[in-house]
Amino acid sequence: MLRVMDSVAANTDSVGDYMRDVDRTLLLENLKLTFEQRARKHLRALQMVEELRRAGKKLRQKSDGR
Amino acid sequence: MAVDLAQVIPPLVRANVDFILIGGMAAILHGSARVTFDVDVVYSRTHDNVERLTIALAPHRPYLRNAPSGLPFAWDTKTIRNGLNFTLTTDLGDIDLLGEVASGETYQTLLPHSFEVEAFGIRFKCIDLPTLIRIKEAAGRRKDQEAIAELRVLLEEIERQQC
Repeated sequence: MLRVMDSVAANTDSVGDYMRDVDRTLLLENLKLTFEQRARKHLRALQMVEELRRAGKKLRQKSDGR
Repeated sequence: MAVDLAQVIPPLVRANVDFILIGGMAAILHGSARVTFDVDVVYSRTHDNVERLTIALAPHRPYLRNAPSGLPFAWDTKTIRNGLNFTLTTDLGDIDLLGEVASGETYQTLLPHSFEVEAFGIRFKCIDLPTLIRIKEAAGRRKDQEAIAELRVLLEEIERQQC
């Protein structure tokens, strides 16, 4: 039981630590958007992540082929 | 494949599936700035709903995510009734169908903690922010700590704006 409580306390502490590092300006910008705009903005970010992944993969394949 | 909420949700709504959006995509709708790669929904386990869910997703070729290729998997009501939580890959992207979440809650118990979202010309249910935080905390996963911190900050900001 004590071990579980310690674990919860440790998690709570780290969440508290992380909260200090959250960029509130990004969140405040998102809160100005509608639900649909937030979803579409996320999709654009996701597509960019996937594009970067593809580019990284190509680059690795090229350097492996050398 | 980038999962698009505007593609995943409408087939479920059109088929009258009882579900609640939870997880990372719910966090996005609440204003999260993090990127998530799948759609998590809690679905009602009633017989009729499982049937509607089966029919709604069948055209999108659901298959167990990360399962060895060739593993026999039949997408039908029997499979869903015999299982509970499914991590699926589909033509629409990755979808996690959950009969129960880490806190032991189900569609029925989460329903009072959901609200209606209007987007993409449809209406669907999404989990509220305090409950989303509670579910993530109950999961107790270390990788969720940063996400929980962001959601708590979001809640603070929303409450501040409401004052």
